[in-house]
Amino acid sequence: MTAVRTDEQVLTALAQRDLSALEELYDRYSKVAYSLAYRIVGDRGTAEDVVQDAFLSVWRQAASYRRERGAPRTWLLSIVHHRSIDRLRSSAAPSMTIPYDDLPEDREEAETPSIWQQAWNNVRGDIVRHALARLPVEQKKSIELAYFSGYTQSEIAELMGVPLGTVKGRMRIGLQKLRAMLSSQEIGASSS
Amino acid sequence: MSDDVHVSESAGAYVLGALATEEAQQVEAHAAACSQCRKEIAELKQVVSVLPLAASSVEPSTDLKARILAASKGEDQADAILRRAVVTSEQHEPKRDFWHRPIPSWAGVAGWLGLAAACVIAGIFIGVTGEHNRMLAFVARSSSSVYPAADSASRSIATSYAVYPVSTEELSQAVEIINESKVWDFSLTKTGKRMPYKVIQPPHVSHAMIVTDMPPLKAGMVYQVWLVRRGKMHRGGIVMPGHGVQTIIPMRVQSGDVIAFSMEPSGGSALPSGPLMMQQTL
Repeated sequence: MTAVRTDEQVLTALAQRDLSALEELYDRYSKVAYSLAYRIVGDRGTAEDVVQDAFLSVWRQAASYRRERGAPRTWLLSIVHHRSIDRLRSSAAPSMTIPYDDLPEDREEAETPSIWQQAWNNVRGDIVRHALARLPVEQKKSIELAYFSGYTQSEIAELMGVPLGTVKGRMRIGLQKLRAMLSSQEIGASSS
Repeated sequence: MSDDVHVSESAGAYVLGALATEEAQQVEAHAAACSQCRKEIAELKQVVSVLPLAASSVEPSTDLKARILAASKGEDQADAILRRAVVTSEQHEPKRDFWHRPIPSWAGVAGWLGLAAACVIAGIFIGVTGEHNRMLAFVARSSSSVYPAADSASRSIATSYAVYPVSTEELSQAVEIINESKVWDFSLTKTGKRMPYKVIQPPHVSHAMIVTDMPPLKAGMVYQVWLVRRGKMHRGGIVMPGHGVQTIIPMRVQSGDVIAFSMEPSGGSALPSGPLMMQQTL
């Protein structure tokens, strides 16, 4: 039985232009990468462009990967996130006239995991979503507006009609609570 | 915020990317010298690293994997071709043909093959495409040089408007062209500097446009665009350093094409002399 390569080993192989390593990385993280991109940009074609761009970036830059950047998965998803927010911001400025309560919720879409890795991602996704749902709504909204919608703290303050300091506090305290909840379920601090 | 005040209040907004650039830099500068804030930021970053898992699970199309693998092969092939070209381009004879004249950032409005206004819109709207209505409203009321100093997009519009008085109708037509164009939107990072970069293929014309922001170069040097398709390299136009600078590729571009930039002597080169940068697959 062939040993499963760690993510770091996959990146090492990528740096040596091993196409099977790119395939392996794709099989592990394409779904979570695409889900993140789609959640942010809200368009399938754009989300696929973002994911393609992110995987190709990793393909190009694998040789320069350093552990200090975080785990390979964190690095890949960070690229996906930044590219998605860039697309969002360049395609349209967030409307400041939409009350934040009216902002669309996460797009629900039932899917069947194809491999155990995807199933594992889904389980972890459930944990993270559950933890987010347990936050006070203002903290949850502040975090989601920043991370998934690309709003700045000033825009969020205006959108929610609260002082900037309140937004900062909600983000910080919300993330601290998430950390506590996720740590107790062995996710978060140990995952990256 | 001063360096001797802890930045933990902003730590959440910082790790979520919600701070303005200046404040983010202040946080980074403070954290570099403060272990307490550095520790808090590191802990919150770990939380942010699992937020992608909160997005509801959605499957990409079944052919995405094949497209990515094909593109990676294509990039390697293009890379080899470009590098081989660099090695073999020992003689650099500056070209000053139609495609290789420097195109100043406002020159799109000079009427190039009927796409002038489109160039203007693309140039001034890099990073803010989609705000067409707001831009048109602004242009319509902005016959003077008075514009919000904080709004760089508006300032660019006003600057271009002052250089060449494009009518609102022309701009409106240009917006239509852009809306019908295929646009590949890249935002690249080079030595920490973000370089927005768009490739625009307008409909019904035999060439494509590139609009970008390029960092300064030493005197006598320019950027030049190259396109690789199916193992063959094609020469594109040259790009001057600056904001909203434009150039052209004298052929229609399509998905799978690899675009690259190189630094060349003023006037451009027949083959890339390097260094190559910003290679991207469309």
